[in-house]
Amino acid sequence: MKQMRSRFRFLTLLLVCGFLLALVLCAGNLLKTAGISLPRLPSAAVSPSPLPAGESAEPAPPAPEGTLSPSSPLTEDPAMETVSPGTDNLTQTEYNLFGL
Amino acid sequence: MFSVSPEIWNVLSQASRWLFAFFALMLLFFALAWHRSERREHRARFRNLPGAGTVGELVVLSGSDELPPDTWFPVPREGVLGSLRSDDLVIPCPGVRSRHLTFSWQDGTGLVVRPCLGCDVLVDGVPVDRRSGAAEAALVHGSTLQVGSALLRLQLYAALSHTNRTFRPAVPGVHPESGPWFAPEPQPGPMAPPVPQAMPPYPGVPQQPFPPAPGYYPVPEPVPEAPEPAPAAEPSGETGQPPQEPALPPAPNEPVKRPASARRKRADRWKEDWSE
Amino acid sequence: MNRQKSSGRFRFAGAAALLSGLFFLVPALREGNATLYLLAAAVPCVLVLGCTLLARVFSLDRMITALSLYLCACGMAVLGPDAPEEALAQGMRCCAGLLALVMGGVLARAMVPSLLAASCAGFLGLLALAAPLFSPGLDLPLAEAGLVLVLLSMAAFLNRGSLPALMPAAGALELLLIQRQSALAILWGLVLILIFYAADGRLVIVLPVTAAVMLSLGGVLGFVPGSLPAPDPSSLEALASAGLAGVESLPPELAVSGASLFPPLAGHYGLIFAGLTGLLYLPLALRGAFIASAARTRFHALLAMGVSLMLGLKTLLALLTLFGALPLEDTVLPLLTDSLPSLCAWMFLLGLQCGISGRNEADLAEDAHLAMLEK
Repeated sequence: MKQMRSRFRFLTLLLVCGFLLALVLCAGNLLKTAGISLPRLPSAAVSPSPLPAGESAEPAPPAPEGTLSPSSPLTEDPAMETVSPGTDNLTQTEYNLFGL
Repeated sequence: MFSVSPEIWNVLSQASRWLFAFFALMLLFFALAWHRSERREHRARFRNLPGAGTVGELVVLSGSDELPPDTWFPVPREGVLGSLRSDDLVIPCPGVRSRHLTFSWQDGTGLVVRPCLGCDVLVDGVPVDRRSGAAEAALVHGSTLQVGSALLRLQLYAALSHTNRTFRPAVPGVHPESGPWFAPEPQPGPMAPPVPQAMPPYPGVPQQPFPPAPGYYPVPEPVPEAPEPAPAAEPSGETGQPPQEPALPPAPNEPVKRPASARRKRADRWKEDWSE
Repeated sequence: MNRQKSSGRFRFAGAAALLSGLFFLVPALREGNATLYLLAAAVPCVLVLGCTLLARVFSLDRMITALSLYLCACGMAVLGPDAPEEALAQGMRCCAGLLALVMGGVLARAMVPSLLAASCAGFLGLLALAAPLFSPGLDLPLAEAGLVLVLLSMAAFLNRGSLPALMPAAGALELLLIQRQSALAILWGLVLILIFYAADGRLVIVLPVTAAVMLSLGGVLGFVPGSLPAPDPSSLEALASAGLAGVESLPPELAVSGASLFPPLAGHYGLIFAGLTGLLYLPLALRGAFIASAARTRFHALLAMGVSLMLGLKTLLALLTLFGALPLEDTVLPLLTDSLPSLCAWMFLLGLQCGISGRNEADLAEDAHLAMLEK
């Protein structure tokens, strides 16, 4: 029983490591599919399909007054839409996850 | 039924989604904290119950340099006896294999031992192997177990008898010079528990099971006689029991000097007489 | 009662009850749906009563009961906003699952790992697994139920030795491979290897078992065309479209399809919530492993560990498949499913763990009683 318990501890450790690894893999896959780096997670209200890396999002459809969408951009700047991919860090401010 | 306007509901919906995520995070932390506190509490309970999970102890009557006499081990309910340190009962003596036997406690029967293939085991002087028709044998209180060059005696916890789990108040015969050990006849009393059917019959005077190999199966050393024999610690049906053969090793006048390399430390109460 | 222990339990149960009430209250406020109001009141009550009264009456493990009931509530919450009647039906299924949990608890305390019980469980398990082969029109997913019985049989056989346990285990694996259930076959193969390692760590046992499992899996999945589907990126894209906090109206790719409720959960409540819900399986598996370590007998320890491994590995495989890391078809997380046989099978497995935990507690209490008698 002593040996079995020590093997159980090892298996528990394997499970925990498996979960952590799965978390990292899934997060990485998700970010890769979304096609953006970490500060630039896509907004749900913007488009249903993920965009390739570097391309800025289209402006969100007009939301009803008083609606707080967590992912709608705070300001809509048409000039930002034409920025070439990967050259302008200012696009980070366009995606506001928290809608504040 | 009650409902809110779409504008309010939109705000509520958006806010609730973040609130749910926060709650989910809280739940994860609470679950892990709960698990941690339960583990700690379990460990604390075990520390307060030193005998938890054990059924008795094995006392070494003769062993080796690494296992001097009078060493004792708590016996778990189930496990493996062998010479490896990862075994539940570690007997580092010549003739003991890495996995020598498996044992398990069975209510009403005793500590059932099953030798592994090719391992020699004697229970109360009787060999336990398939050749002799007994693939397993049960040890009761006071039974002796011989594995390799080690001779061990099982002492069950006295309180087990109160749960009507044990079987008989076995009184080991003390006869170190004559050689083979034999178990006494059971002493039925008015409240003695029934003899379990599964147990092999006790021989009257068993023959020497194996010719002792030189240095491998030493004759047990004489056990010093106590001036006051301790009464047996088994169920109350022992009133008619002859007092000349104590159930436990007699308590000497001087305190038992445990060897410096005793395997485990126990509270002093385990040295006391268990009579009630 | 230990104050520290009870405070952890109350904190979790309280938060879970509050959250499960809000799951239905928020959508109920939109239309004033009576069913949703009913669920908003009933689900927290059932959760609290299950964690306290039911667990006490049947000596079930409170943590496992609480976690499994909360996960069932999450499954109902997925259906609540769009189809309240479906959520009610899911609630009925969860009640049946709760019954299975109680049955598992009772069985774990009463079961004796005899040869007869092991053989019967093994036979019934293999029969359940082979049922689709004998009656192809049978649409009932009995694979998980069959694996439960085979696990019981394996644990009982492992109590006596490693070799007898190989028969039902290998039979189950081959039956799953014949039916091209690759995800379950991989899961069972992994559980087999790990359980044999836990029970008997000798290389002479573990290596041949590992080699046999790998050969079986590799032989069928590697060489038979169509055994393993190509990785499907659409599920990952659909999940990514859900965003961190979810969407108001569920797109078609995230709607409830098949038995898996995880994608719509992510769609309604966001990836953060879904990810954290997936991580909640970790304390469930850890608790099971702890129960296994505290068990006094080999049979109960192996059974509890087997359940823990099945739960943990199934969750991992399903999550990795959902997020595109594995090319499997099965994306159903345990308990987050609308299939009644699957839900009952998993609840029964968790009930076995609850029963073993109750047995451990009873053993400890008896030891304390014996210690008191000795004084």
